[in-house]
Parts: sequence; structure tokens; C-alpha cells
Amino acid sequence: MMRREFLGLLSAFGVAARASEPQSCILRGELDLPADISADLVRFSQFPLKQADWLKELPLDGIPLCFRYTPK
Amino acid sequence: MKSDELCYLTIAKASELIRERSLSPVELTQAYLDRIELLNPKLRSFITVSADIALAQAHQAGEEIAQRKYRGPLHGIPLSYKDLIETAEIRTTANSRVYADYLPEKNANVVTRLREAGAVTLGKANLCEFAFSDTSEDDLFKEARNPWNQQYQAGLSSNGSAVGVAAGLAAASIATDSGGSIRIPASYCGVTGLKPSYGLVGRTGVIPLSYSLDHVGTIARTVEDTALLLEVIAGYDSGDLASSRQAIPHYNKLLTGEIRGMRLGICPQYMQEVGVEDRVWVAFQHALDEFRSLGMAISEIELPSFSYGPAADFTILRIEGFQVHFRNLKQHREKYGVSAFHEIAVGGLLSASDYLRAQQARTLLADELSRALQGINVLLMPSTPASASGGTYHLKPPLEQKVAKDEISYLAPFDLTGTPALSICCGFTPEGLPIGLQLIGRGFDEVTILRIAQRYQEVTDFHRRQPPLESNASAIASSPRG
Repeated sequence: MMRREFLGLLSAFGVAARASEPQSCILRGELDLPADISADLVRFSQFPLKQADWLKELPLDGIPLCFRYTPK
Repeated sequence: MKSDELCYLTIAKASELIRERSLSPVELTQAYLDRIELLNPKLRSFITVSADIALAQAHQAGEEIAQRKYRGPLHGIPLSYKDLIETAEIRTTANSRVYADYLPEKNANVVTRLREAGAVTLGKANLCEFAFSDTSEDDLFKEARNPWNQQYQAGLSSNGSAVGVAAGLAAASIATDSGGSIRIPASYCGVTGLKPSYGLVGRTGVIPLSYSLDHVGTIARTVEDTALLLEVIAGYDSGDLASSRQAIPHYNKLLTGEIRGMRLGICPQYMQEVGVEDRVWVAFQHALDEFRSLGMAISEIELPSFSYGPAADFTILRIEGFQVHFRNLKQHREKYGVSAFHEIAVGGLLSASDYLRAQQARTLLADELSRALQGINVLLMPSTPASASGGTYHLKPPLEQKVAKDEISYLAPFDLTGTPALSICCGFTPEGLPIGLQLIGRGFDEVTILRIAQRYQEVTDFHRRQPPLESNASAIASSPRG
């Protein structure tokens, strides 16, 4: 799919705000998905994207970005 | 002893019989292989049964024991491995066409440890594709079914492991958990599932889902068996960057310590947010009464950010999973099942800021839980909001529902925090389906959750019940040879 088509598809499913983000472009460009598969994927992605959006509600200011996962 | 009885021996009991040479590893292994032949076509617990290898290993164990070279309580004990744990000379498929013919050259760290302890490899247990997908019609191998009622699900994703242990097809199984994948099927199948602390069990040779969420753990019938397994598989793994150098306690010897006076926490606020089925609620309350009668106090805690746990877990899982699978998605997209493809590829639509936000949320949750655990020894929650449901998987919460009221909600937060979490059976529904109870401890304090759960299993019998399945003896009697 071409970039413009993919942006249109994302927009149709209400996820246009993400279309300019780098990973979307990677997925579109590098996986080279046919239109029908892209449409399926974007439809499926609505719930996972909503989940990620809910995290914006958390008060995360001042919470360090820690990449050490050993439990306390 | 009858063949079926052998298949339901605990590891602790079987190893006692093997050590005193009243039971041979070959006899025990053959009993399991007979039962697998009888029940696996219906339950689909195993993707691959390595009968010849298992019998050869059992013969070797028998000879060593006869020569007084006894290796310990796992010597001659037949186990299964979730089929994303690499086994030399036994194919490892991850239930995906991408790995359909993959024959690893080496054993995974955890298999090496168990082989050195003398355990026998029965075969590879079923899972959903890459432990990632819902089940779908185009899976390479169809999903395992619940031994308590084959019309019901066995739970994602280590379903073959839990089904096998519950149905007497393996003494125990080694599995993985990144969002509840050990504890969901353990809960639905009525067995004991441990997700250890992050870093306690090495992951070298385990096909990854998510670098920062993957845990290797155990599914067994009892807490005692869990302790015996953990003692062997826990420890530093130089091939795993997340591996811990913590000293490994003698989990089994520490099971009998005092628990009276310990404080247990419950979190009504989170349980209200997630919700819980009435009969699970009743079983949970009965379990609390049991703990009170054992001399433990129950207090209430709050975990206000936990509502975001499932969302943070799934965001990290999908983004890291996309990275793990990127090359294969690009080169072999047609080999992925529909469900696995969707679940993994959606990670490519999430952004770097989504990922970092989810990691910050993880820190928030970990700090919140750490503070809560300062006032209590162990936190109790249901393992899942409901018992197993019928049909195949199509569970998805409504799009606008903020708190995911689904089967990972009580489990995924502890993959984020990395704290140990154990699911044990605490009752049955009127239809005879198991109900799970979860015990969560402080980081690397597996001893306390195992000790408390061990006391619970000493005063209850839920873990001893067996699903209503055909017996080896009845199959022989009804066969033309019988």
C-alpha cells in the first residue's frame, strides 16, 4: 500500500492521529501489506490503540523511565 | 499400583517410590505414555510426544538409580514442556507454521537443568500460536480442551501444559507467563501454576514473546511439587540478560515454616473495578475464612493505578512482540495464523511514546505494590474473574471499557511488577469447573507464598480431585484386546 492510501485507511477507522508516527510508517512500508490485510489489521487495532491511549490518563509526571525490571 | 494411579502420583510421592526402588522410571514413563495415547486425541495436550526419547531417558535414570547414582527428587520424573521451550532433537513449533519443522540443536536452559536433575522429557505441550494469539481456525494445531469438561476452554496460553497435568498426562510441565499464561490455564484446569519473580528462572532457549515480560515457571499438581521443580530451575543463566544472581533457597525444606500471625492483603477496590463472578467470589471468601482459621489476619489495601495494568501489559507485550517477530512477519507473513498476525502486527501501529508511557505506568504500579506489600506478607486475588467459559476464544471487552474486565485483569499486573504469583485451586463451580486463587508475594520471596499455599493445600482437598476421564484400565477392558 502507498502511504496516502494507508493514511486514508487509518483515518477511516479513527486512528488518524497515529498515522504520522514512525512505527505506523514502518509497518506500512516494510511489511508491504496488501490493502485487505491492512484494513483487517487497522480494524483489529482499535481496541489495542484505545488501551494505549488510556495510559495517557495516568499522572506520570516525575515517574522515572526505568528499564530495570527486577522486582522489589 | 494401577497405571492410572501412577499417573496421578505427586512428584514428591513418585520420587520417594523411585528412590526406594519400589517404582521404576520406565514403569512410570510407560504409564504416562499409555495415558497420553488414550487421552491426547481428545484433549490435545501434546503437540509432540517424544516416546522413544522418554523411554531411553527413563532407562538411563533406572540404571543410574540401580548404581546408587540417585540425582534427587526429579530423577526419573516425566515432564512436558510448553512447545516454545527448545528441546534438542525434539521439534519446537510454538504452534506456528513459521517453526513447523524447527529442530533445535540445544536444550533451553531450563531443560538442561531438569535433564541434569534426571527428569524425563515426555514431549511438547500445546499452546496458542507463539503464546500470543487467541485461538483461531487456522492454528497449526487445534487448542487443548479442558479435562473437566471438553466443551470448555482450557485457558490461554499454556493450555497443553495445564491440561496434561490435570489429566494425568505428565507429572508437571514447564511453561511461560507474560500476561497470565501460566495462571489462566492453571486456574481453569484446577492445578498449581507458579509465575516466579522476573529474572529468577533463566530464559535462554525460550522463543520470546516480550523481552521484559516473559517469565518461565511451572504447572504442577501441588505446591510441594512446585517447590521441588523451582529448586532445580531457579538460578543464574548467563545467556539471559535479565537473569538474577539471587541465592536460591531450599524451597522444599522451607515449606513447613510458621505462618500463624502472617498478614494477608486483599484489594476490594481493584476487585470491584474488574468484577468477579458470584461463585468465584464465594470461593474466594471461603478461602479467606480458611486462612483466618490458620491464624492469619486479613487487611484491605488499595492499588489505585492497577486499573491500567492490563493496558500497560498489553501495550508493552505488543510492541516488544512486534520487534521479536519483525523479520519473520516481513519474510513469512503468510505462515502466521490470522489471530497471531493481528495480535503481533498491531504492535507496529503503537508508537514509541505509547511504549515509554506503558513502561512509566509499570514503574508506578511496581512502586504502588511495593508500598502495599510493606504492610502485608502476601496479597490475595482471584486468579480469573470467572471459571472457564465454553466455546472457543472470542473474549474481547467492549471498546470503550477502560478497565479490561477479562481473564488477564488479575494476572497481567504482576507480570509488569515482576513479583511472584501463584495460582492454586480453591473450589469448583456447580458444573464441576475449577476456580483459582492467586497469591502474590514480594520480589524473590517465593518461599512465603509457597509456604502459605502449602498450608492451604494441607487443609483442603481441591488439588487432589481428578477430572472425570476415561481410565487406562477401562480403555483396555473395552478394547478388542481387553
